[in-house]
Amino acid sequence: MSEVEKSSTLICLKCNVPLKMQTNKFSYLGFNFNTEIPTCPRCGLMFLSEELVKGKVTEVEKGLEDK
Amino acid sequence: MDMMTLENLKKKCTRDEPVFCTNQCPLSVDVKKLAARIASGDFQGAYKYYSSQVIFPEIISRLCDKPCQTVCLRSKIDEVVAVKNLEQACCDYVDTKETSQYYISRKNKHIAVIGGGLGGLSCAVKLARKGYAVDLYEEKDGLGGYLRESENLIPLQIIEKELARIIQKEEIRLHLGTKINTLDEIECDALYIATGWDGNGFGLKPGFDPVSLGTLRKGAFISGSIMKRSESSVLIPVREGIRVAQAIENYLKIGTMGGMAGCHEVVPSRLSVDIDGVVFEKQIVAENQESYTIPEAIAEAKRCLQCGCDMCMNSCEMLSFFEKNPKKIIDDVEASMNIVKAFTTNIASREINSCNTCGLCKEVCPENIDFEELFMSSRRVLHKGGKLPLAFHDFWMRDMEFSNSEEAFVMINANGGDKSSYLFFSGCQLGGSDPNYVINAYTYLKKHLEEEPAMMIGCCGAPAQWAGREDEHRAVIDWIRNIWENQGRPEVILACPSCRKMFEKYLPEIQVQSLWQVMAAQENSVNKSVASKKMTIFDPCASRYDPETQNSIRIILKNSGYELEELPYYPGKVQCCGYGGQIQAVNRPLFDKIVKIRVEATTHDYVTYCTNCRDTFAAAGKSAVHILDLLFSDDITASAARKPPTLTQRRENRIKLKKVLETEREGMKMASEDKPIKKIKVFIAPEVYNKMDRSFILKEDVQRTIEYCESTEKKIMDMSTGNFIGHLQDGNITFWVIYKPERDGFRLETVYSHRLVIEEGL
Repeated sequence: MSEVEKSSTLICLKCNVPLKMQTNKFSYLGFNFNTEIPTCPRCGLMFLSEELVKGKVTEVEKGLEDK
Repeated sequence: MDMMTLENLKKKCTRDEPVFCTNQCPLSVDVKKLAARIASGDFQGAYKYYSSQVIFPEIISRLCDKPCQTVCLRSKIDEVVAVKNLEQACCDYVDTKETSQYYISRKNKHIAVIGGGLGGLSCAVKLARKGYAVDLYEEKDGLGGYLRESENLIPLQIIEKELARIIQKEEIRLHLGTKINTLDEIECDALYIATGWDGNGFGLKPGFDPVSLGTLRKGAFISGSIMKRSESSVLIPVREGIRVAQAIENYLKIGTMGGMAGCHEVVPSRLSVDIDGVVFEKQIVAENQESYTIPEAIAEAKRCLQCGCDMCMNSCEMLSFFEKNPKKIIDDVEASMNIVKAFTTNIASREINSCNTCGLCKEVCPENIDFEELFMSSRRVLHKGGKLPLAFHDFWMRDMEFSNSEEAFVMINANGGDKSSYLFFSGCQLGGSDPNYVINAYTYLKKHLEEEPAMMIGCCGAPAQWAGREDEHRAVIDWIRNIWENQGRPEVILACPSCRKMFEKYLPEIQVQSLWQVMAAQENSVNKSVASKKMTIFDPCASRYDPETQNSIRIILKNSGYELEELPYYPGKVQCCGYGGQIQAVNRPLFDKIVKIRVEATTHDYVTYCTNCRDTFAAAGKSAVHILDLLFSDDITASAARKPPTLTQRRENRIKLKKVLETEREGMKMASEDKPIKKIKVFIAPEVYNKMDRSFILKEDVQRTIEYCESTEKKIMDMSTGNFIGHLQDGNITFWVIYKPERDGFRLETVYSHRLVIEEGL
C-alpha cells in the first residue's frame, strides 16, 4: 500500500478527520529536509511509517552521521 | 594530540616501508607481485610485469646474482624463496613474449647511445618506448657487450634472439660495427656513453653525477663502468641505463642535468613482518635439477610470505572493517580535530566511534601506534565541538545516569558504621545481568574477608569516558573518590575488569584488587566440585594488563577440576568480545562481525569474568558462563544456556537488586515500598523486545510514549488494523508506538524510533 492510499485509512482521533499527504519539515545534525507524509490537516499530527523510518530516514541519518 | 604528534605517528607507521627483496634489487623488481601472479598460475601476467621491469627477461633471469635472496625473511624460518628460478619459470611458461603496444606520439628529439651492452641498450629501449628517435652505435658486430665474450655466462643464441626481438620491436636505429672516435661525429640532442669497463669516455670524466650520471657537458651522460664503479652486479648497467633514460628525458624537458631521485645505497627498510605463525616449508627443488616445472614454480611462489606490515589490520576487526591504510585513518582523525583546515568536511565520525577501545592495536604494532588514544582524543574534540552525533553514545550515557541514580545506586555501610577496610564495588552490569551475581559475591566477601566490607553498586564512568564526554566522566570519578574518602579510604574490591581499568587510570590513589584474587586465595572454601570438562577462558580485553586477575581465574578453575584450553591470543593480546566502547549503536555490522569471530574461535564453552562478555556471547547462541555461575550456580548447564536479559530487564534487575539489598538491611524495609512507581501497563511480546534491544528502546520509553498519546489524545487510528499510532519526541529520539487497548493496559504491536527531528508546530 502506498503512503497516499494508506493515508485514507488513518484518522486523527483528536480532530476526527483523515490524514492527508502534506509537506513537513525535518532536521538532523544541522541539516534541514522537507518530505511529504500523512498529516492531520487540522492539528498537524503526522505519521511516519516504519517502512519510511527503516528505509529513507535511517539512510539520511546514517549518511549525516558518517560525516 | 596536536598536529606534530599526528605527523610523527604517520612517520612511525612502517606500512609503506620498502619490502626487503625489492629494496635490495637494483631493478626494484616487485618480487611479491611476481610471486603472487605465478602462485595464481598467471605466468603471462608475471612475465609481462617482469619484462617491463628488467627489459631483458631471458638474460636477466639467467644472470641475476640474486641480491633479493640474501634478505628473504624465509631464511629466518627455513630457506629463502628461489626468486631466480621463479623469474626463469615466468619466461619458460609464457604463451607469448609479445607485449601489447600502445600508441606513443613520436618526439622530435634525437638521442645517441654509444655502446650496445645491456646498459646502453636499456637506455635506448626506455627512450624509444617513450617516442624518442634513438641511434645506437656499437663498434662490434653484435649486441650484448661483454656477454658475447663470456661464453659460460649465457648461450649466445639466447642473447641474440632476445636482443634482436627487442631492437626490432622498439625501432631503434642500430649501427653495428661502427666505432665512434669523437663526439663530433654524431648529431643528437642528448647522448649516453656506455662503452664498458675499459671503454672510451671521450674525455668527459669531470662533473660526473653518480645518480643522474650526467657530465659537465650539457646533454651528455656517462656510464659508471667507465668511471670504474665499485658495484659489480650484472644488474647495475641496466639500472644505470634506465636512470640515464629518465635523466635524459628530464634534461630534454627542463634542461637540468642532475637532481635525480634515487641512490646507490640501499636504505635499510624499517618494515616489520610478523613471522610467528609461519609454517616451516623447505624450498622447492627442481626435479630436473635445472628449472622448475609449472607446478613446482607455483608451489615455490606460494612460499613467498608476501611481506608487509599489516599487524594492526590483521588483529583489529575495526581497522580491517574500514579497509583503510593506517595513515589514512590518522588523516581522518586529523581532519576530525580540525587542526588543519581540512579540504573536506567529512570527518569519518562513525569510524572514529567504532573503536572498542581495547588497545590491542598498540600491542601488536611494532611502533606501538595507539589508535585507541587517537580515536578517544578525536571523540573528545568532536564532542566539545558539538559534532559527535548524540545517537552514538546517548543510550549508554543515560544508562550510566540510571546506574548512579536513586533507582539503582546502592551504598551499604559495613557493620552499621560508615568506615571499613574494604569496599566491594560490583560495577553496574553485573547486577544488571543477574542480581544473584552481586548478592552471592557480597555474601561470599562478608564471610571470607577479615572485616565486613562496605558495598557500592554503581557505574565507574566508563560510558562517559568511551563517549569522549570529559565533564560527565570527571563528575563520576570525583563522586566515587568522595565516597571512598568518606568510607575511610578502604581497599576497593572490583568484580568488573573494565572498572578495574578505569580505577587504575583515573583513580590511581585507590588501592584495588579483584574479587577473583580474593577468591583464588581462599581455595579451600570456594571450590565447588564440578565435572571434569574442557573449557576455554575468555579473558576480557580490560584484563590484558592485569595478569594477577588472569592467573586468579585460572587458579580457581584448575582447583575446581576444569581442563583449560587457551586461546592463541592469551595472555598479552587478549581481544575484546565486541562490547567494548559500546559500539553496538554506532556500528552494528562491525559488532556482529566481531562477536561471530570470537564465538567461532573455539568449540569449547567459554568461561569469562566479565558479564558483558558472557551476555554478548550468550546472545549470539554461544554456551558461555560467568565464573560466578561456576562458583554459585546449582545448574551449570542452565547457566551456560541462560539468555541474557533484555535492556529493559537489565534495568529492572538493577532496581530489583537494590530492593533485595535494602530489604535485607534493617530500617530500610519500607523504603522502596513507600514510593511505588505507577506506570501504564504495556504488554510486549518477546520478539518485540528483541527488536527494541537492537534499536536501544526500553519498556519505559514505550510506556512514556503511550502515556503521552493517551493523555494528550494525540493519536491516530489506523482503520485498516484498528491500531492506535502515536509518537513522542524525547530529547534526540522520537519514539513511534503502534498499540491497542488490552485488558487493563495496552498491547504494543510495534515500536520504532528515529533521530531525525520533526520540526513540529509548523
